[in-house]
Amino acid sequence: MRFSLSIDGEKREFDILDNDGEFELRSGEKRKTFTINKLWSRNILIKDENNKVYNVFVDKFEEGHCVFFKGRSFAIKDATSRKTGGGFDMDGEIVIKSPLPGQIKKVFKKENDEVEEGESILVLEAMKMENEIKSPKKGVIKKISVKEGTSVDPQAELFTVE
Amino acid sequence: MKKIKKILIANRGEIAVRIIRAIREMELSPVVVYSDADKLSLHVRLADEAYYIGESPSSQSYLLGDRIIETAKKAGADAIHPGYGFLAENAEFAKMVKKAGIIFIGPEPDAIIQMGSKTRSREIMKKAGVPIVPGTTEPISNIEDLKKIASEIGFPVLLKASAGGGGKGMRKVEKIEELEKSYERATSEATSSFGDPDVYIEKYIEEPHHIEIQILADNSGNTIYLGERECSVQRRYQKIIEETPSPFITDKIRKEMGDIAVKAAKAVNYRNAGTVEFIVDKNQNFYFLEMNTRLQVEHPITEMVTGIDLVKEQIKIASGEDLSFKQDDIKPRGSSIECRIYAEDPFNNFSPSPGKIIEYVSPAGGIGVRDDSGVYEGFEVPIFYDPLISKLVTWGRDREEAINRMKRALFEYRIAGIKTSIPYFLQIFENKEFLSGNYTTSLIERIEKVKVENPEDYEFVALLAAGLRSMEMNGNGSKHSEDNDSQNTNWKRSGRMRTMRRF
Repeated sequence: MRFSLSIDGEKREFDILDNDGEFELRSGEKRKTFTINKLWSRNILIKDENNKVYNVFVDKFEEGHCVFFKGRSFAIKDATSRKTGGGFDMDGEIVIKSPLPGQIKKVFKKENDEVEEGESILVLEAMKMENEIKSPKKGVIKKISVKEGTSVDPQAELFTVE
Repeated sequence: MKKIKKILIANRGEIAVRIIRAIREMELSPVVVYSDADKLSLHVRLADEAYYIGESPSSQSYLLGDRIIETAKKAGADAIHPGYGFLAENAEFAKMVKKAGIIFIGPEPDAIIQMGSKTRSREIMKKAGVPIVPGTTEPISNIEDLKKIASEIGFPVLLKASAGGGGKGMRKVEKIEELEKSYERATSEATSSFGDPDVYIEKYIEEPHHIEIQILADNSGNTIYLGERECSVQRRYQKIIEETPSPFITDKIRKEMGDIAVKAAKAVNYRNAGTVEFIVDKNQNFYFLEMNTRLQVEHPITEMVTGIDLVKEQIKIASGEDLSFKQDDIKPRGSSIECRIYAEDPFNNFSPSPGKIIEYVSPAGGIGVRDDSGVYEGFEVPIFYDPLISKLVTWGRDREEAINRMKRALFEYRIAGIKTSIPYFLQIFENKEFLSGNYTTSLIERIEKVKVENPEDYEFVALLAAGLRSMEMNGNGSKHSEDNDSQNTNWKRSGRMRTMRRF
């Protein structure tokens, strides 16, 4: 069966094939086979080809699933639906909004600057941590809606890149 | 001094819960305050009384000294415990509390003021005979003086903001040519971060350790130290793991540091619990860094090895009691470690990870594990505050046992729905340098360049789990005949027969 899911916001396309109780996961050229053992509704054991066993928690979470094992929690969502986010329409203008409430500590770029994909545009301080907000694509900064010291609410516009 | 019966905690989260526990064990009454975002917080649920004080941003709730004092009066609280952060080191607040006829559980405002400025505290320490890092005790106002002093103490040097903290406004300068430019940037950073352009200069200590001494002082001036805490595991100048005893220093240095810490506290007539922080070089020379005039986040490890509840001692001292033990009674036993569990994503540049906790299993069970947590299953970690959700602490007869116990506890800890620093800690506890005990404050910087795990494997497992689950939800499970052999241990058959069952 074909899946289009996002894992922590990153889109992944893959197939799960059920080979008589063995599950093969195919993603591009990569293939891995697993067997599983369900303990109860939210808990399964997954064993890989090297007999390594993962004790996995999985449950519905925010229109998708939360998977937890080895101290790590993953958010997995349907990537075909628009509202789940993660993917931008990469053409044209992209308006970057604040993911958290906080304060703008630094602005590295100014309007009309050319930027690379992944280049830091500004620093947002939230939860006492400094977070670099990066450009999602190569392009030109069309607008910067904040300046150093501005307090922003969640979803406040930060900058626009084209 | 009047008897304390009811205490208001001017804080939230795990530290509020920690303080509630001490208050209740003393058979006193804990009162808390909360903001919009904290209506369902654990500290609200565990208190005797809880009062709403304002909107979620701390500037409109936990930092409103007047409103907190008003609330304390209304509730009939005899004392206020500030915890750490927020108003804990705000001398004005301490004064206002006193003026309102309420006991402030902490030092006198004067001690807070004297230790609050880095340059002033350096000056006081120098006079008291406490070793300080070579450098100036006064802010430097011109580049010529700066060049002269830097040459005297020798490069590399460190420029520091007088009002600074948490690593902000600090700049290492390797040679004299870089000095002027670095000075300009340090002053501008100091102005923007702290509204105070003053910077001073210090010798840069190579291969430094960050080691601190816990002290307690009563109203009769009895001042004792309760051993040290090694806090060299730091990320961007923030401590993340602390341990006691320090695996680095000798007993001789330990005692010297303790005696000096007591001297430092006495120099400002310190009362209550406090911590003297030192920087220690590779030859075990130690220098005063600063004094934290409050309880520390990492206080539990001292409690684990001494058996002394520091919060209870704070309350007793504040109510006028003298210490019931002497320096000679303090005999630390075994070894203890703390991990600060943060709601942040170690695999995504440690960005904050607020949100709902959908599964929560605390590892606080079995011998020697303590989990000072402020959350529970179903709780939503707010976006407005520090991301510290829990302090996981273990005790062992020796360092090895404490570490292995910590690894066990981290393995058992299940927090799903938000990202936490747990997998990062598991990685650190495999690090040879950390395990050897001979590590410095640059440990984390170096670990971060090493990628230990294979995320691709993990990703496959996570995708498979979610994929299978959604297949079942949609009734797309594989079509096999179902047998009723529930004792099936065969993995293949288990997958086959149960996939189609709806959960």
